[in-house]
Amino acid sequence: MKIALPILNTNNGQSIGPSFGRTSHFMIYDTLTKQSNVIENTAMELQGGAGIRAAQIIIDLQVNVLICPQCGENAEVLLKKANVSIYRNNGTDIFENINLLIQNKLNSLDDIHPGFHHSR
Amino acid sequence: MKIAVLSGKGGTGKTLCAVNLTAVSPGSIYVDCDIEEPDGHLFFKPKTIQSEKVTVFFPKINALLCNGCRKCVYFCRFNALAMVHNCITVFPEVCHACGGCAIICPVLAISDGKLEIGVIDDGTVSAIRIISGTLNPGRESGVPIINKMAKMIENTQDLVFIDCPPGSSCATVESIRIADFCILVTEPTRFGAHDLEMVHELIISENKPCAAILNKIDSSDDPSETYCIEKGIPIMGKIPYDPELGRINSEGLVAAWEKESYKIQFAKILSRIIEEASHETVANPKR
Ligand code: SF4
Ligand code: SF4
Repeated sequence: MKIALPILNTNNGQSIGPSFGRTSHFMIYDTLTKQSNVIENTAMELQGGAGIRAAQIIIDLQVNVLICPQCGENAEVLLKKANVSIYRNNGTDIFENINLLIQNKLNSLDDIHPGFHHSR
Repeated sequence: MKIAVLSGKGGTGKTLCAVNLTAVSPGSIYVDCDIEEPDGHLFFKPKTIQSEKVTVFFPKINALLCNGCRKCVYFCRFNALAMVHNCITVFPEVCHACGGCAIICPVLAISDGKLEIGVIDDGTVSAIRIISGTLNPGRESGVPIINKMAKMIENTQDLVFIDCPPGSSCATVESIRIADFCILVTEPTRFGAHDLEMVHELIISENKPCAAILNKIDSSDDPSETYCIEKGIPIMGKIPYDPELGRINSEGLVAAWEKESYKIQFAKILSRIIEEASHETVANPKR
């Protein structure tokens, strides 16, 4: 199983970031190999549709689960189409949350806030 | 001549003025560009002659032709397209209807699915042509509807009144594009004066001549009037606060058709507008 998390670089190392589409990096953790990988979120700087593009990146990496605090409506639609499950993190510690997920102790992220839409 | 009627915000009496100025000008055209709430037709109750749906480009993907190259996904700068399981997903609220993806697709798998965004009704009443645009609920931009109405009247020699969307949105900018002259309808409040300033700045940036009608005038100070005087905006008329006018208007009746005194009042304002506007056009023939 591959797990993705939006991450934030802080003074005390890395933690889970507050947003999905607008995060600077993702961590991809593979439960089979126990390897983690950090990739850049190239969608971050996009003017509109950042969540959609970020979801596309996650989907193309064949991720199965996304752990994040919040996720836009459009990104959620796309992730669901690709059978990516979304769970809400508990605290911001990355590996603690990965363990919680494996122990099935995280809640699925059902209150998805509507994405921020740009007017034409 | 094409006269745009604007206001800084809703509720100033913009439609009241636009409707009644039209009503005292037989042979003129009234164009309702206030597409989110087009209520001019409620006053005129025109006989509709033609209704035309307005559609915008909407990408329709032919999955049998699509080869999964993703050129469209990376082309769309709004990121309205994504690919899951080798199928293109379109996000309608994100799509800006530019049509670019259909051009970029190497195998012509994308065609125009024609999304309906609203309708334009064209009708008549008492020798006045009434054109009214309505944006479907939930649609964000009615600019294509406004542009289409502008096309319908762009070459007419008749007198045209354009009832613009209130405020200073891009729909307002589009509505005044073909106007020769702008009329600002104001109300005597501080908020009203502030919104007036915003829309006045928009008119200046569009390089259009303008004048004002002061509405709901009572004995107190009128910050909108002060603003007009400061900025040298000519005042075409003052409409006193008048419960009877308010009542006629709220019943959906055209005041100038109901009572001779209102007819005279609006006819006076109109003749001043025509004079001011012709003067402006002579002074600035390029407009
Ligand atoms: S550009 Fe055309 S062929 Fe390529 S992915 Fe898009 S729809 Fe399919
Ligand atoms: S029409 Fe334009 S905005 Fe809409 S999906 Fe195609 S490229 Fe993107």
